[in-house]
Amino acid sequence: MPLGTSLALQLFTAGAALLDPGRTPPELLSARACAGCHVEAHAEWQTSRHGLAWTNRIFQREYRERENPWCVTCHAPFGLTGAAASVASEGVSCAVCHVRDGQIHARSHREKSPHTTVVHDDFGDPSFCAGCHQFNFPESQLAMQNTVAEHAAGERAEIPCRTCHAGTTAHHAYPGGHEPAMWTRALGVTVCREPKGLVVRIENKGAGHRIPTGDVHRHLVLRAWRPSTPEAVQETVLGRRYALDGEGAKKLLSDTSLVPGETRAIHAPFSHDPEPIAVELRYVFVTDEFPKRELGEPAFLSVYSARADEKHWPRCR
Amino acid sequence: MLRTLLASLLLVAVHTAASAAPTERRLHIGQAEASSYDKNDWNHFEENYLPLYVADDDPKTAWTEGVPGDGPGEWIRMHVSPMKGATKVRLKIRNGYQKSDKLFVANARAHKIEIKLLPSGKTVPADLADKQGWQEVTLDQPSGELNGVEMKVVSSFPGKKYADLCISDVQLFVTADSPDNPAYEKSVLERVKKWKGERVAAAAAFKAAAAGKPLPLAPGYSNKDETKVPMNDCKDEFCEVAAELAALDAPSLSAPEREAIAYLAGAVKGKLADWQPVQLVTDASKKLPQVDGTCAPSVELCSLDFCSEPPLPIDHLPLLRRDDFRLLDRKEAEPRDTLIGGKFERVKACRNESTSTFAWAARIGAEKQLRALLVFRCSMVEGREGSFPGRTWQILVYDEAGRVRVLANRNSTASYRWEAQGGNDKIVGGAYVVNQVREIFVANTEVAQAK
Repeated sequence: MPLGTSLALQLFTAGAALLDPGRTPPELLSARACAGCHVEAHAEWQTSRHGLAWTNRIFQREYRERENPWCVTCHAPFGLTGAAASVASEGVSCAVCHVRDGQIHARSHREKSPHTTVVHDDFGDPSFCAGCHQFNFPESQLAMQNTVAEHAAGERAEIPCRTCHAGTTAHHAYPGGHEPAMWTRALGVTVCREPKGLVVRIENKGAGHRIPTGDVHRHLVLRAWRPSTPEAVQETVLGRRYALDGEGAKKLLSDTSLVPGETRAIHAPFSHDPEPIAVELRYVFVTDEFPKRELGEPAFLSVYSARADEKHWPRCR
Repeated sequence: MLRTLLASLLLVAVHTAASAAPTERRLHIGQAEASSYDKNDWNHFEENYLPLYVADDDPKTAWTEGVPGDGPGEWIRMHVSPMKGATKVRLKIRNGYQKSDKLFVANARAHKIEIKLLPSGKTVPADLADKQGWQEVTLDQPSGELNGVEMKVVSSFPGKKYADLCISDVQLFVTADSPDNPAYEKSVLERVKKWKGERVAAAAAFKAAAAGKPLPLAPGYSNKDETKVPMNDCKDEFCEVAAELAALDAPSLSAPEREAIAYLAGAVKGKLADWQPVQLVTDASKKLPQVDGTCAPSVELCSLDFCSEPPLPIDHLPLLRRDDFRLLDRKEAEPRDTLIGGKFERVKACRNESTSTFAWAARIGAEKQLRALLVFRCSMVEGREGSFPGRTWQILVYDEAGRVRVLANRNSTASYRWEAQGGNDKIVGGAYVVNQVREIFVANTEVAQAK
């Protein structure tokens, strides 16, 4: 079997251009071609965010608002025209990662596999994921997707992406920020009381990259409030903010996301009152948490929620 | 072992997020309607005692019923965000008009009431005391969702001076096991307060206009009818305007509205090719008020949100009548195609904090009379992710008399019906298309007259 090298450069364009399937027969571009034998992998992929990369309602709404061609390079990587048009709705499909020039590319060649597999030792390594999870804004030196660089700079750089995101069972579901179980592993939240209110500590205890990461719209919002006065809710947002640099490109104003291993303490002052205090941390996928037009899928995920009398919260140490 | 650990952590996460023990929380009233409300034109701005005033936490404002008598039989219906898993509802009520001691006794107060939980319809009688301050009524909520409360007056304490029953404020507290949504509730209250502020500004404008030239608007508009419109598969904004104009047009519209729609449909088909660049000169002192039931698209609104009510001219500029603004010929500052549906973010003027305006005009006849106007506005807008270039645009089509008949925005299209009233022209209704819905709207004064 052939041994491939320089995988990231060879297979992907770092979000800069559409993928060239080469001499791949059109029928091999569709995941349907794989489903017959790879039943389990196909089922896992089909409902994954990779499988929904083009069709998910969050992306579709953004794309309808701003039809930037560069969005297509990762959400329908073979493009929207020609032979690829029929598979655009499959998003990041089997062929996006595994098929070029009609040949199968993978990390290993399975015994009894009928394919002539091109084996890459670094298939599934961070450099591979960088194909769509590390690139700059167009005509800019500023990272739009910075997950792989965050991982490389963090204290968990030695742990490859697939350890967390390909798991031990569902290899092709690639769970991420839309999965509650991933948040349980990645984030630690503790709440304690001090004389003037609560202190919420949010820890990036398990992610190898920043939290939040990926798309710029994603952000965490911590809220603390007394239920009888929701209008007095206290909010802290963790995420990235940008401005224009004067030349038409963006510049980063602030990045309050959590680096791997970091713990952030957020103070929420409250007066003494018998009414319970509620605390919630939400991961919001879009800019507008309460879209006026129905989105078609959840705009956020509640990753921590608790409510207790002031004295129930443990004293801060 | 690892799998067991992960499973238990998942259970904890799901438990904390979705199934907390039932707790009481406040839900803000975002909408209200009533069997009637008192219309008082003392400041030349009708409908001073609308039902939604019960939601503003301000004892100086009130809902006042508007039929003869002290209020028995009148009702107010208040809507909140739907709440599943509710078990108990607690109402806090400021009975009567609590703006002052004098007004409290001058107007009628509720005595016996019936409280109906919505949508279940469960109805419970209750007695209110004849006193100022908050009073409470607690009810058990049957299984199912809660999305509002209706309060019907059975008997009242008569007012010493006026036969008008008032309720100053109502607060709703619901015990439920569903998660709270404080940020949304905060936004509901902010909308109510914004509405209240706009009404104050509009009332001042109508009062000032009463001494001079009357405004071409009614103090408020309501929707009368709605129909679904099929989704279009347009890829550009001119195509969207054309599709919305087709959805807007109907035999029920007035002839001038239909004629203006047909004109704009033709112009859009030709991509406004022969429209000339102009400079728009408006008189800021002629600013139009934001009246009830309308929306004035601004750069900020159109970049972060959209209008879901009949649109008014852009940024409240007095563009409703041709005589209220002037146009100066100018050279094209930026190509129109760059701005509309193009690369407006690259235009330097759109990267300023202050708003930039570009306009193009279509003139007809030997006298080159203004037939239609395209206004494009842009500026930096502050969003969650930082500031970014935002924009909005609007096409206005005028009739022979110089009144706007059709208005097309990025996300909505509207037509207007004008009528001469007391020697002055006023918009009395029209139709609009937004968010795949076509609505008919009418001035509240017209509704009142019809009754």
